[in-house]
Amino acid sequence: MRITFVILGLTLAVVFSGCRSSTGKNAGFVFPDEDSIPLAQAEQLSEEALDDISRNISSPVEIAEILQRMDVPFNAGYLASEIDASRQSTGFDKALKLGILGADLGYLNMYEKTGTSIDLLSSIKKLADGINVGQFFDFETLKRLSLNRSNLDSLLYLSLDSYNQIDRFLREKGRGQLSALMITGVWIEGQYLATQVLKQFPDTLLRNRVGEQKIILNDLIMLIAPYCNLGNEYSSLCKDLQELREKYREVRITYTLGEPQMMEKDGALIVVQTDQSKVEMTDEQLQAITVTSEKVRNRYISNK
Amino acid sequence: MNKLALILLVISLPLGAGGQSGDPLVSKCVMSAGSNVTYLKDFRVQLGKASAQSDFRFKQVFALSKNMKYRFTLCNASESGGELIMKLIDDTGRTVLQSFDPKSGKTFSSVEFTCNKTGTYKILFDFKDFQQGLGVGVVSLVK
Repeated sequence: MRITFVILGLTLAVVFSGCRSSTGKNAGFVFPDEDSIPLAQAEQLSEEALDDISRNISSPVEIAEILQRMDVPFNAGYLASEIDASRQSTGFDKALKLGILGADLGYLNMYEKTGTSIDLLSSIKKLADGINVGQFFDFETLKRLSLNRSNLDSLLYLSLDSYNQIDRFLREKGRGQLSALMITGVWIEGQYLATQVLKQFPDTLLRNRVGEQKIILNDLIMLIAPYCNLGNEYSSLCKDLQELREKYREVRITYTLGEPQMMEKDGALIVVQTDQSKVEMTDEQLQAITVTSEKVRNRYISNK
Repeated sequence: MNKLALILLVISLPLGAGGQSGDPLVSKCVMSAGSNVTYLKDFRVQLGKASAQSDFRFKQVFALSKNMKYRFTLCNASESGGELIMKLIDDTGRTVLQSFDPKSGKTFSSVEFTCNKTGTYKILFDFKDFQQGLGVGVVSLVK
């Protein structure tokens, strides 16, 4: 049965400008290098704006889904196995690498390399404990699930849910800078994974996905922007993301609009979007994005 | 979703241990999302009765990607006064989908969305007729 819906002309456009201006408001505050910020007064100023920014912790799962559609084989060489969790000293390092390893965990789980993920889980536990969020990982259950492939769905759920909870908790406790770092880490590793696979396995779908990251990168930059003045580590990361944004500058994403098609099937509503986005990215632009993504990612997986 | 495995998992989790993993409503909702999906995110929505009918009160932002199929699953706690409903709005402010038909009043607890435009979307939740309620919205990736 086809259902026609009244499409309401809502004008709730995403407004990011408030987030940008909040950076300026932060400039007068002095922050320590560690994560014990004196109640993030500046951060609270931009909380509403920050809520308008997407926090996709699950993006590597979606990338892994594309890789599986492409029949790309699993490659352990893509993993950030260089990271030594016990050698991360600052909250910055721990949170960023928690994100990077979270992306790797998603990649491993999607490829059902659950046995391999046990070592990774131990590193994740150390990093999470290091920023006092270890309570959100039920490591014993995760390990148990990792040993049994039939529990893959549960493992994926529990892993992603743990990261989602950490993100919520850190924001609620005024430690949004660590949450932003974790999400940035997830994205950096997912971006590295996608661009590295593209080098070996050219594919239009994945190529477009890399091009579309121009949109997500802009969100990410705004998410991290309020913290760029927290210290050298943060300002370097902000510069790295800006450098990557420069590589995306000439990538064009165009849109055509259409009305969504809706139908009811087995009691569920099925909606197919007829809007289309189109990515225009030259080989040279892709090459520059790939090189910079790799450089940035490799810098942050080193143990200093 | 392997329901038996997930039920066992939920039972084995300490309730309220540092977060919502032990939230039975979230777990129930994840389980009801179907067998061919991968969980991505859940939104726990708790609202009082609205004094005046306005726009949806619970808002989150989520990036959705072209060529991906997502499923939104909506669940209510038994004590909810109204059913959880949702809208999805794109970055131009257009409503892409809503889980209810404003003409007939019919609501859907499962909405499958084929995304053809990568971007940042707003997911808005409220309870039907702006009643008080407790519910969970789960976003999953359809395999």
